[in-house]
Parts: sequence; structure tokens; C-alpha cells
Amino acid sequence: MNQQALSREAIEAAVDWLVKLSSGAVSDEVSTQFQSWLDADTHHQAAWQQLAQSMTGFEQVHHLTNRQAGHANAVRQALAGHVSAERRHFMKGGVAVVALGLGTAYLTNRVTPLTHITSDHVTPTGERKDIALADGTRVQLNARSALDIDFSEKQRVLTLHQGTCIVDVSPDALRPLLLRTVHGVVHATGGCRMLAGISGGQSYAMVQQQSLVVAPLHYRQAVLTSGEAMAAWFDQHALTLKPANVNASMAWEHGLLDVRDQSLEEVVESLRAYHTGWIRLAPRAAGLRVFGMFQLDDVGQAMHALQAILPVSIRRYGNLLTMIDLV
Amino acid sequence: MANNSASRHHLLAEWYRNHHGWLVGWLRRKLEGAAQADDLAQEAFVRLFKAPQLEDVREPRAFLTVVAKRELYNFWRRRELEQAYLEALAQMPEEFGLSQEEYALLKEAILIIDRQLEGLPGKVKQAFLLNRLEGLTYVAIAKEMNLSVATIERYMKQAIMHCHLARLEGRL
Repeated sequence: MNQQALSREAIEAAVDWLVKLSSGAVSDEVSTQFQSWLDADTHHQAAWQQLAQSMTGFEQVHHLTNRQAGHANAVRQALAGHVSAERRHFMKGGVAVVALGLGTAYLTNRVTPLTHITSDHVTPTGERKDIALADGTRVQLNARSALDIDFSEKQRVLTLHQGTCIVDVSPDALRPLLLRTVHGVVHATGGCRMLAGISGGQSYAMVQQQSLVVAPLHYRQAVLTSGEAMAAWFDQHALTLKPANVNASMAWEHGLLDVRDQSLEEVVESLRAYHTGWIRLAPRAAGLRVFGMFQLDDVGQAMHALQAILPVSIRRYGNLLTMIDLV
Repeated sequence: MANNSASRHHLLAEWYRNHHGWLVGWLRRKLEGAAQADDLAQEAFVRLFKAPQLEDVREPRAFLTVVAKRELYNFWRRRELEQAYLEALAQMPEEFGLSQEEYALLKEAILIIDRQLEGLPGKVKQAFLLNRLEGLTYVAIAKEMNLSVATIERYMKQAIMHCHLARLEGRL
């Protein structure tokens, strides 16, 4: 790969430079020499970048602990295995300990959705899935989604537990296709193309061809036809029709996020399904309106694009943390 | 291909049905009843999803045990690092000034570094960490460790190369 293509000499030279530059006493002369080494050859730059990447764990610790020297010291002691105090002493940190369980669970869950592990189809962060069913129906599952498929002689049932899916329903007069969520049922009456998802405690459905009947569990059903440019948002006890751009909402099937006048918060929410690290959005930047087309499979690129069109600063700390705030 | 993945899925579902409860029990005994047994069992099954050639496995429980042991080891190592860190922190005068998110990030970074450093001699590790994490100069490290500056430089080179190779070899 790319990494192998770099010569051992270039890497070794980069390591030597890093050793020199880390001494804590770097003369201007050494700095200048380093700069000319870097400028001399693109291989040098590549080697330096590669090496810098290998050091990102340290950068991360450095960034997080720079406000308090004690933290860095504690990290070092932990890593060096110099554990001095006995376990009892540790109880002093009781409050912090309660807090930390949550953190890891959250991060693990960012990488793989554990909640619906037993579902027939589960997609992790950043991966979509295309499912061809025997009856000719095609299901596309967005990242971080979970779906069960239960087809019998009498009916075809899809159960969406999490995330979003696009279904190209193959017509079958004898077996209707039902898409269930925790909030209700969407009936595809004939062959149609629909989008369904769960977000913020509600389910939603849109249709691109033909029509759908959307039936919340404890509320009257509504008919949604293509050409209306509407989305049906529902929970168990209510249903509202809201204007929506159906094509744009389905752009993720092509790996794109097509945004036409959404809040930055909504955009970030869509990107989160494609990014394993945290994205922190400052509340004061959340309401900015966004128009644009973004690559879902390259969140870094999407961030660059956002920075180019909005008055925001986006700081990335390795892959783990991205912070977005007003400039 | 689709057929293959369907049979694979069927197999996984069967494993889950037949062995999940057993695995949770096994983990619970190792963890002395800790609630994490469920999480670790889930993680072990997540790993199975990614394992190639599941169909060839003759002894599912033996296989699962191997996978779960790795999860268990990571869990223990994580906890050990965390405890060592908090113990050290308890000696410091500062408040615990990190948010939950920052703390979780810090722990992940520590785990990555820990894996990167695996296999380095103790002194090399010590010199390297004093420099990388606390920003001590080579002169200061040499003084603290009672070694020459040239030795510290050599240690630094060894440690940086080690970390870099760990990443290239995909050990992280």
C-alpha cells in the first residue's frame, strides 16, 4: 500500500527528526534544517505525516490534559505501570468512576449498534447494505440501522428497529408489504418506492412512486401519495404531514447527503451515522441553515465543505473528536 | 453470495440461540457477577459477525471462548489502566476537570498508547513517556533517570520506531 511505498530511509530520517525536535532545546538552526529537509522531497513530507499519524494517541492525551499537568502525570503513571497507592485509596475517585462506564459504552456503541444485534440485518457506523429479497423487493439499509425481515405465504413484513431504509417494493396482489416500526405500520399498497426511518422518537415515511398508507398504532391512518412532496411523521398517538424533498432524502443510497435548507444540527445528525468519533456541535451553531451536497463516505471532506460555506470553525482531534463552533 | 450470507446468518442466529446464555454465564463467573458480562458477550458476538469461515467451526463453544477471552483481556486491561490512572490522579491536588466525553476520549487514547508501547523495555518506555506526555527535556530526563543524554536520545528513537511499527503492523 501507500505506507509500504515509502522508503525505510525516509521513515528513519523522519524518526531522527522527531527525536531531534522533541529534545526540548531546539535551536533555530535545527528548525531551519528540518524545514529544508521537509521541503526537499515529497517523500519526506509523506513520511513525516505518516509518523505524525502514529503519534496521534499522544497528541490526543496532550490536548485533553494540557489544562492540568496532574492529568498528564497520572496518564504517564498508569501507562508506566507505576501504581503506588492501594485499591482503597482509589475509592476517592468514586464519582468519576460512575461517570466513566458510560463513556466506553457510548464509544463501543458508536462503532457497532449493540441494541439490535439479533436483528436480521444490522449495519455499523459508516456502512450501508443492499438486500435483494426473493420476491424481487430490494431493501437498502442506511448506516447504523437494524431491520428484521419476515416473509410468509400471507404477508411480507419488514420491521425497522433503528435507522433508515429505502424499499423498492415488488408488487404482489396476494401478499401486501408492511413496514413496522415501534410507532406504527406503513402499508405499501402496490409496487412502490419508499423511504422509512426512525429519528428523535418518531418514525417517518415518504414515497416516490405510487402510494402508502401510514397507520400509527393508536391514531387514524393517512394516505401518502407520490408527487405530494410530503413526509408522514408519526409516533403511536399522532401523525403530521410535513413538506419534504423525497429525492434529496434518498440521496444517501448514492453515498450523498443532499441538504436543502436544513439546520446544521440535522446535517450533523446525518453525518454521525457515518463517523465513529464524536462530533460536538456548539448549541449556538446548531441553528445555522445549510444548503449543499456532501459526501457521506468521507466525513472529513464533508467537514471541509461545511467550513467553506458556513461561518464555523471545525477542529478535529484525530478521528475521535470533531468540534464545531461559530467562528 | 446472497445464499451464502443467508446460511451464515442462519448459523449465527443458531449460535446466538444456543450459546449466548452460556457465554454470559461463563463471563459472569470470570467477572464475578459484573454487569459487563452482557456487554462483553455482545461484543464477542459482534466479532463473530466479522469472522470469516464460521461454517468450518466444529466446536462453537471453544471458538466463542477464544473470542470472549480476548474481549475479557481488553476489558481487564482497560479497567487496570483506568484504575491506575485514577489512583494516580487521586494523589494530585487538581480537581477532576474533564467532561465525560473528554474522559472517555482520554481513556481510548490511553488504550491506544498502551497497545503501541507493548513490548518496549521499561526504561525506554519511561523516558519516552516523560518526554511525550509531560514534555520533559532530554536533559531533565537524563538527570531524573541518571543516564546520559545520548542514551535518552537512543531510547527516544527506539520508542518512536516501535510505536510507528505497531501502527503499520495493525496491532492497534
